[in-house]
Amino acid sequence: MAKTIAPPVGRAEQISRWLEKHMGLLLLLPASLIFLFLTVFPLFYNAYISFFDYAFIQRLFEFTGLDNYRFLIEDELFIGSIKNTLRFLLTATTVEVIVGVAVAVLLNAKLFAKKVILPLTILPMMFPTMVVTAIWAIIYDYEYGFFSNVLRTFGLAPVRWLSDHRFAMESIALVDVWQWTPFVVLVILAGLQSIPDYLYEAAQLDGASDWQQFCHITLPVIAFHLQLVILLRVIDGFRLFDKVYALTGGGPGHSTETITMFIFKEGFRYFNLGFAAAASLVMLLLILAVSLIYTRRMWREMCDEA
Amino acid sequence: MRRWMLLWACLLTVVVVAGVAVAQEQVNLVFLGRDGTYEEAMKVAIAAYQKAHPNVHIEYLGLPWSGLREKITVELVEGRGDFDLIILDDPWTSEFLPAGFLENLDPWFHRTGKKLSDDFIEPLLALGRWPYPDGAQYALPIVGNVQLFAYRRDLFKANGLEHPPATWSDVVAAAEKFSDGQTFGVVFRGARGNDIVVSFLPILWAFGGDVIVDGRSGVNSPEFLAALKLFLKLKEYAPGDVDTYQASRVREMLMSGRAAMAVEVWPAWVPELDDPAVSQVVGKFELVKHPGEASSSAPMLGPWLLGINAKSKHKDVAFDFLTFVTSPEIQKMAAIEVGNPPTLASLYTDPLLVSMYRWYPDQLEALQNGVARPRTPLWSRIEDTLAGYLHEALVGIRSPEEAMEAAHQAISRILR
Repeated sequence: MAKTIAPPVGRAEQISRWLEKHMGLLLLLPASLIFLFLTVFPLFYNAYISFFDYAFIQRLFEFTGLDNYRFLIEDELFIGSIKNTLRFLLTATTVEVIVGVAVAVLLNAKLFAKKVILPLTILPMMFPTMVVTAIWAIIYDYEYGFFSNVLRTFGLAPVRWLSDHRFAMESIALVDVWQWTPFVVLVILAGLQSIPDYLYEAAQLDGASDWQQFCHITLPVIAFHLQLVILLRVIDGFRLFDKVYALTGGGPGHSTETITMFIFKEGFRYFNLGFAAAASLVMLLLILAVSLIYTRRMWREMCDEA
Repeated sequence: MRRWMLLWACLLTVVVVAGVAVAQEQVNLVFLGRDGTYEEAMKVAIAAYQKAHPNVHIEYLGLPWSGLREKITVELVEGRGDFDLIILDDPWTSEFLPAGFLENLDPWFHRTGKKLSDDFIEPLLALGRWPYPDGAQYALPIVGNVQLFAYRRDLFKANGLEHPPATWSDVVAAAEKFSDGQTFGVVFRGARGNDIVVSFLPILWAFGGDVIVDGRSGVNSPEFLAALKLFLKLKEYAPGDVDTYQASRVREMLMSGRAAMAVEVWPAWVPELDDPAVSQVVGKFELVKHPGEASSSAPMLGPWLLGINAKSKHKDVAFDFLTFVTSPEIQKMAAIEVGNPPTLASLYTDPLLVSMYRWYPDQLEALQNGVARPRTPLWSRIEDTLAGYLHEALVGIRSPEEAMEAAHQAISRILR
């Protein structure tokens, strides 16, 4: 029996076949390399140095095991910074979601001049945060600020919005609400626009009120979007730094010192890098814990739907 | 024809070679310094130096206090040599000098035959040495800052009060008398950070306390508590938002005549105190050393020092500039033009300068008897921590006892 001999394959064709076979991997390579060097490596290096007493200026690098983590737990300021961050998260995220949903529902209705109002609504999101904080610092100014002048007009004493510990964190949260509620509006509006009109028409035929339509049609449909937007705002809230740095610097006292502010001070003011790395890792774990709760739930719902 | 061409070629060569030589001699120095009046003073010196040395160009980068320290740290640790001359606040020297980031100036004096002037005020000069106070010279003082107490002589006289006040209790009593809705009895820097700590320290020292005692936290002491309670008492006679006050606000309150006393001023802030064009209190304020209480209080030193980056590529020119900027002529010029306090003793008795700044003799005495803040590389961290708790007491988040105990725990953790 004569053997069939495969025709000789040219070098160019070999390369072409190899490329075809591995094209997916090749396309992934640049992004993977960037991810590896800019995310994975720093993450592991951060975890590594968190076990050392790493004083950058004195060039000290000594293995201390879990000491940095023990010091963190004992550090009243670190625990306080977690509490402050949670206080901010709770205030800002709650208001952003409630106001964002309300505005999105309004914009989804047949609103007059919607084409003009929508771009205006999302405008605050477009400003750089340092510009936003500079504007709000003027608005909050005790002597000449807008709020103080309004209060004086009504014969009331002005409030020290940023230097009174009872209002400082909420004042920062308000700036965040002003800047990021538009983001919630956009996501929720996208969800609302995916609801077909016939659902509402059917509900109206059955005599459902506006509130019943909102509770039984709108909310269940936008639940996924709501979860997503809450997750994103919570993650972003954990990273809160620039507004605090520019508006209060963490004060009065330590009342607006967030986790990121604590890490910044340890890392870039005292250059106590091992301790700052340990605090960063704790923050990462906190974000991961919150994210996991949401992502697991969302994943389960998506699987159920599939 | 050929001869002409040869001549032109020779001329062209000479011009090119000369041009290259001149270009090679051109030196660019980069000076990392402070902003504000410090920058103005340094620019006076830079302009004079560039005029005398046309081949040297000095670029000045002026930064605020906190940003400056971060920039210096990154610059020195990375060792790139981007900055040739670096200014330091005096507490920073105990962080940066032991790490060997700055050039030892002693060999440079030896090599160049220049002499370190005997006229330098010794306590200021010592702050530029490591080990402190007798080691090698790494930096020279360029701003003769010392903390002084400011009070309105006219108000004390009008109220029949002894002046200057001998104790902090006298200050509280006087502040109560002067507070009338128009004028605040006292003013101080109450903002969180370096401001509040530097305001509080002269009171703490007057009560006989200190932040670090024998290498340990000295914060949980009866002296500290008494000083803190007096500090809070002073707040009652200060503007309502004094807990946000920084140097500029204190200066504004003094110059406008709205404050009768200031817990502390640095002469570099208030050179125009007697200038009728900008001051409402010409000839009314006295700047003197601080009142005592349980013990007499030593004035706090706070000079700025200038050193050469050990990685600089132009150390010779940088050293030449350093000796130039600290020379009597340039220091006098900077004092006359922008009120920069000198670091040479003789200038404090110079008739022209004394006629412009009548507190100079008192300032010299304060500089010669002044005390430096603790010499530890951990001072920035300790100061920041203490500031947070002092501020909590000032704005009423914690009682003085609670704030003191929390500060003690935190500082003990830093020092362990």
